[in-house]
Amino acid sequence: MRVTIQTENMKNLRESVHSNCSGVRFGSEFCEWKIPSLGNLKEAYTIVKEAGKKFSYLTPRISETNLGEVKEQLDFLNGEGDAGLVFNDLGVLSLLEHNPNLTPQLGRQLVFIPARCPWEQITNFEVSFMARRHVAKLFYQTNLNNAKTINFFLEHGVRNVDLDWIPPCFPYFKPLRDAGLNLSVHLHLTPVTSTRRCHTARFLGIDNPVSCPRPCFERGFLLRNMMLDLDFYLLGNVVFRYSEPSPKEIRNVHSLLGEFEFVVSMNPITGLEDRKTIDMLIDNLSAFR
Amino acid sequence: MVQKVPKLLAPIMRFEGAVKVIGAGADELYCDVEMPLKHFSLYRGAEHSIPTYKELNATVKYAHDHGVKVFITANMPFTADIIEKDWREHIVRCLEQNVDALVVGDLGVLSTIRDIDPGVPLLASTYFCSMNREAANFLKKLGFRRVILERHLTIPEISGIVENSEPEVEVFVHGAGCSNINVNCYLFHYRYPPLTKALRDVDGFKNPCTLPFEIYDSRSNEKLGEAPILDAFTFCSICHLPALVKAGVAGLKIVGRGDFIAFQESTTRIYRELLDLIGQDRVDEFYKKVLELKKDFLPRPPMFANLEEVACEQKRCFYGPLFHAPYRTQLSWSAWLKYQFKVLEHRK
Repeated sequence: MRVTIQTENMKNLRESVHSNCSGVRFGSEFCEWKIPSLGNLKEAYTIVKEAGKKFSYLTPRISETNLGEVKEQLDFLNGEGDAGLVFNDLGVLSLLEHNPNLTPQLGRQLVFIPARCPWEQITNFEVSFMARRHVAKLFYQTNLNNAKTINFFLEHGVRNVDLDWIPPCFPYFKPLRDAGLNLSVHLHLTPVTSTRRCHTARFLGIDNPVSCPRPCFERGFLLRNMMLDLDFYLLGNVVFRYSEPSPKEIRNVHSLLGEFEFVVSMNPITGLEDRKTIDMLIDNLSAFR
Repeated sequence: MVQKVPKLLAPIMRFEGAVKVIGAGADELYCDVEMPLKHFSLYRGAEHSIPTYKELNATVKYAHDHGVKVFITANMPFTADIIEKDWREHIVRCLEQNVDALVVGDLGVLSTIRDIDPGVPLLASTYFCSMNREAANFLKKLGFRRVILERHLTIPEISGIVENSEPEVEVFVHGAGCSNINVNCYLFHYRYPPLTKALRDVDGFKNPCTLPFEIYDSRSNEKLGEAPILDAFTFCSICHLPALVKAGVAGLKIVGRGDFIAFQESTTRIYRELLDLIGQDRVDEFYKKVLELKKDFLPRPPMFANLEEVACEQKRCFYGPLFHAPYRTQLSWSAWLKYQFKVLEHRK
């Protein structure tokens, strides 16, 4: 069983490489203001490779402002010749044409899954049973459950895709695997919404994204709405919902999908912030298999 | 001196609305037609769509008679094999009504449309979340003539994209706005009764991102307060119009297919007047007009307010600094009463 650790900063990266994980992702999945410096990227790459683990660089959606910085980083990684690149922006996919040594991996922001929605879809009781069943089928699929979309990404060299831990979706993940994509399933945190107008920064009174002290490395927030009996988690510019996988679900997903990769994020919400907690999680995942 | 100004795109969802916004000076209209998948409302319900192809046909004919183009937003950010046939039939039916372009927001839908060989230009929806020149040029290579940018960019970023990319560039300028990145927001997808009730119970709120949340530190569980913490929407850009024109954008889009026709019409009229002043290089009159407009009543329930209150005071400004936007507060009794009078006045 493969478990990859996703880290945003050097402190967590140093912890992760000593764990029993098979690979390490470094970078920012959602916030372009948390893109590491080229110096940090070089250091992270060296540390992970020296630990004998697979290295992937993680990129968010990129605005015109930060495009140049990312280009420079991809050039470096392409020169090293042995790294994965998780992309969440079509502009970054386009840049990969000039960086053939990088292995492109489709990020979660380019995979549309209606079931990330926190509200139950099947609630219109005036709708017929058959219509509700049809809607349910759609709700749990992804935009990759379309031959044309999946072919588009395959033609652009994509061989891996990031998905979420949403058990009713698993039957619809299988066709993606059958089409030739390797699956990486994120545990715990499913993104519900994200913004450039960072909610955390606004809440903490941080005005300038360029000089943002990145409080989300250390701090997350629980958001509770009593009217809806709903809990979200806010981490930086992203709102997540949290789910803990059950042993039964873990067994089921293995029997359904066969070989795939778990992705686990180190952050204040998951509480995974050192080698020990990571190894405990990996042990549990292995035991439940 | 006459300056070239961008096309003004107005939203519609009824023939009657098309008549009004064309009269108000729209160059292009955008709309949707209700799809057979009406029970599956990923983003918006059918209430934002023209109900029939027949009404679309009448709308297109009227628009063409007045020299105005009609674009169809075939841009649900999602398709799957089991609905591809529905998509294909829907697109073909729309094309049969002589629409002038298709706004597309999904790669699978794009491939389906290319198979049909639509014979009209394709516009890349904001659902592609284009934020840089590479993305814009990539979409051009895929066959798009125009790219609609993500709405939270800054003016320098927009300029940079226009200068360094091949396709035409369109931006949002006015209307409801979203706090979050459109295609990555799964908050507002369906008619969920408890959500509908919650939104109805909270005065003046419309979208789930505007609901109040209790906020706790995730480590200590300490309660830090209660606020509509996700509420960072943008609304207006009249002050930025000269800069947007200078940046060279090809289109300015007003948001609000689901809005009242009065809002669609008045907003179109406001932007038409301002663009014409810019086009005629009447700068002083432009700024004088902007000041007047900010004081005007905005016919947009449930926000019965003027632009200054809705946008300026709350820093709800398209293309402003990224992190600014204080939290809205509930209306005081006196403010509430003031707005009720405005409503009554408007109804007269």
